[in-house]
Amino acid sequence: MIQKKICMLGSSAVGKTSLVRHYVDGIFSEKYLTTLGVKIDKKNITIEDQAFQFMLWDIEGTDQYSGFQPRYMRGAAVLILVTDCTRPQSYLDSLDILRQARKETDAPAILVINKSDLKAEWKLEHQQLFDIEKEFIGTIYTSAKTGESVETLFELIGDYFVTQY
Amino acid sequence: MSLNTDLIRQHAAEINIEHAVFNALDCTVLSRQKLDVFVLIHKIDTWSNVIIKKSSTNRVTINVACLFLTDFLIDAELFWARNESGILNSGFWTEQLSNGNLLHFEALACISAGQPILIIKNVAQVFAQQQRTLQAARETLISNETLQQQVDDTHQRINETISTDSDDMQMLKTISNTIDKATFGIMVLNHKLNPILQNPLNYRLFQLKDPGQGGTETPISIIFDLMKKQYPEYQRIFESATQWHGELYWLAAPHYVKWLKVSIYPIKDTLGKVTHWVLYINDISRIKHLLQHNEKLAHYDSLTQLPNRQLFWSIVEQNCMHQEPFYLLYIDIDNFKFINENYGHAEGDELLIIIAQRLQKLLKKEDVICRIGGDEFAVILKNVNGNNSDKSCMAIAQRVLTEVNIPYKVQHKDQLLITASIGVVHFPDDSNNPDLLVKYADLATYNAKLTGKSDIKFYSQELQQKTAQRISLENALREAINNDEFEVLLQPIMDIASGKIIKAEALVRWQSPDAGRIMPNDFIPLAEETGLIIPLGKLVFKHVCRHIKLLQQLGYHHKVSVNLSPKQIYDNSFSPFVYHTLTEYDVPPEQIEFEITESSLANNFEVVLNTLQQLKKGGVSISVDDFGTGYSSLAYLKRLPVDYLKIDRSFIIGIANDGGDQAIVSAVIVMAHSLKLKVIAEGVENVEQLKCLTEMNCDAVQGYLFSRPVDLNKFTDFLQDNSK
Ligand SMILES: Nc1nc2c(ncn2[C@@H]2O[C@H](COP(=O)(O)OP(=O)(O)O)[C@@H](O)[C@H]2O)c(=O)[nH]1
Ligand SMILES: [Mg+2]
Repeated sequence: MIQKKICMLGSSAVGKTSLVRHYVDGIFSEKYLTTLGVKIDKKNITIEDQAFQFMLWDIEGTDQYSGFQPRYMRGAAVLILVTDCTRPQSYLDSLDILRQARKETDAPAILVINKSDLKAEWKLEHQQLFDIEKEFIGTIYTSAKTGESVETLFELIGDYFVTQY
Repeated sequence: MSLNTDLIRQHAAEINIEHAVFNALDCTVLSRQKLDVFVLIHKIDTWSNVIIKKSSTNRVTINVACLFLTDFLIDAELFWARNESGILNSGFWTEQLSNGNLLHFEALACISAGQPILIIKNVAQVFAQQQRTLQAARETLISNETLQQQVDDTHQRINETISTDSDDMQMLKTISNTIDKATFGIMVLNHKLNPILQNPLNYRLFQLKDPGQGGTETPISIIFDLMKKQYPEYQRIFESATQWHGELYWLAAPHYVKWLKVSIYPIKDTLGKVTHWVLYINDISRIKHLLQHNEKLAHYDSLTQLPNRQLFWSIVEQNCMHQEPFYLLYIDIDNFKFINENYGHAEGDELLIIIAQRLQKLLKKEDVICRIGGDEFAVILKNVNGNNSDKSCMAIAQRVLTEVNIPYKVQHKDQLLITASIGVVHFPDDSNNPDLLVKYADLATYNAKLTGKSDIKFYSQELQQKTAQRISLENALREAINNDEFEVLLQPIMDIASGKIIKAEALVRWQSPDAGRIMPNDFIPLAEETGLIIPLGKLVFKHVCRHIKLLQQLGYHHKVSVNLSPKQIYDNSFSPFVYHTLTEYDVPPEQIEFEITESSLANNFEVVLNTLQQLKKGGVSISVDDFGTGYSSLAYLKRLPVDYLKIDRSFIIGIANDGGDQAIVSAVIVMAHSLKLKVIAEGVENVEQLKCLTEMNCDAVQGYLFSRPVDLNKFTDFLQDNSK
């Protein structure tokens, strides 16, 4: 079994914790409970006969109350940058966070645009989105509420690991 | 009792105390023996087994399932190896038990009596407490972000509708569709601040009966009342047509309290004249309520940890009550918006934190520093010494500016330069009323910003009068542009060798129906500051084209030079406008010259170069005005597509008798000629000066010796005489 560390990054309340909860326990709660520090969950997954143990580091959101913690990046195999499709600012924040993470790790990053069950009343300019997306190995729209593409997200990551061997 | 047993008892007692302390702190304590092996010093029975595993009698290892702690040990090992003092802290982490319960921990590494120690602390209580605080803080942050975004989106739509729909009825209909759906109060006011449209929500926000059902109070009257009381600077917002965001506290009888977040935006026509105001009103009582449970969050700014605007107010009021003199400084960061937009909000935030720290370092403990707005700080200075306390205060303000000016190292750039403007008022000299003090401080800051930024202004009554005058002059100027109250005069420029008029400089005069003729010095700087120079410049250019056209019809094809201000150089639309207008009036570009001042070169050289090249491409020529007064170097001039240098009048005045001026002028002429530039001397008033200039090989002259600026008729007379 190969262990892989996956970091959930992004500003507060974009749904990092919810995505992990849905993926690991299959549950979702409307109530927002802000994360402090780190919580690590484990999940086993087999892709093309290769068994993996994902260690999901759910990290406190980066905002003006809590700075980015470079230490938590150590040994990360993948970074998941989570944004909230209803909050344009969360895109910009994710870029900022990625920039800081890049000082610590070259691990590939995936852009997750969460809360796809909610209607986004805005959209980024094409160029802007392009600029953002070129930093990532992939972009995926998810909903921790309906579960849309949550499994897919982690399967994609598994696929990515498999191609590495 | 033997000594021996005494010692043993004492030792045992000490150990017991130690264990009692660890129990009270809810800590498991380990001493590192070798890599991954620890000696157990103290354990907490209820949870230690989650973290550690017994390996032999008193040896333990860390439970491998504790991924976070295992990871932290990598850092701890390095820390112990360096044999450092202090404590390494892991930060909070959470372990989930098989029954779903959560435990919250923190690990500390240190060295005690030469021994590496690992402490694992159950932080349940601190965690819960911090979580409550952060929960409130983050919910507020997000609510504010969402509110602001909704307001921005709506405003963009309304602004577009008002600016593009010429049909008033249609416009109102479109807007009312937009605002009826909104979840916050929206009002559109005309320029006289009377509401012309609002959604019914406004009435509900203030618990008023719907319009037409009686009652003298209206939402807007309440808002204006509240602003008057809580933001004494409110009048200035409307007079100077600036955006405003703030929070209002509304006490509805008898026990009902509401917090409203209000955003006010002016909507301007192409001349910059305000045609409408749009107000957005959000009920943020719930958020405020959340915060009020937490003293620290309610009174301190979360970013800088400085007292916020609310606390600032009560501090000012208290200080006024104590009757001891103090200075109030408003510090406003210049162009902060630019930084946020170009480097991102994270960087902007980082800067604000650094600025706050610098201010704190600079000022005394008893001085209070507050963050009273996005990019505004206030300082209350007490005990300013010296028999001339204004002077001491000025020195402090100066030091603040110097401190702010030190370059900043931020993510994207390691040399970010920032300036600030400061307004100062004194209690009780300027006023003993807190409202007025704040209002005057705002006014002084506003004036400091006007005079080119990075400035300090003390409040005075003259300043207030000047501000009022300025605002009325600005309005008059706007009207004047609208009604074209301008006249463009021409001043001939003579070729020295031939004595012929070779071209003319266009000079604008404002012919005000109320105030008579107003000279450029009295309105051009204002036009420049307010941006009105852009429409004014275009108007003047059209006058010039008309003049040229008329002269052509009389058979004269002289070139006319037109002054370009720095703002015009930075205006992208200017060059296209020029060539469009030239075609419209059928004027060949060779008959136009643009004069740029030397000082406008100093700023953004690349931008200037780009604009000038664009202009030149079409065939106009360019001259550099006021040469000698700025700092432009030859290197600059060489790269610019310039044809003429105009030597500033200040050098010409003394040229006949001041050796210094003579030397400068003659050197400039030689230098210019070597760069293949021709030289025009400005402000030539007598024959001695002309004689000197002729000897120095100057090419052309302009000044009262030949003619003042004259109107088109007089100018044609001149041409007639001159061509004889
Ligand atoms: N509608 C919707 N709400 C979500 C979704 N994901 C998270 N949330 C909600 O967003 C809030 C913040 O979620 P959380 O997972 O704590 O965010 P974190 O701070 O990034 O860990 C909670 O109230 C969640 O219920 C989603 O996909 N759709
Ligand atoms: Mg979370």
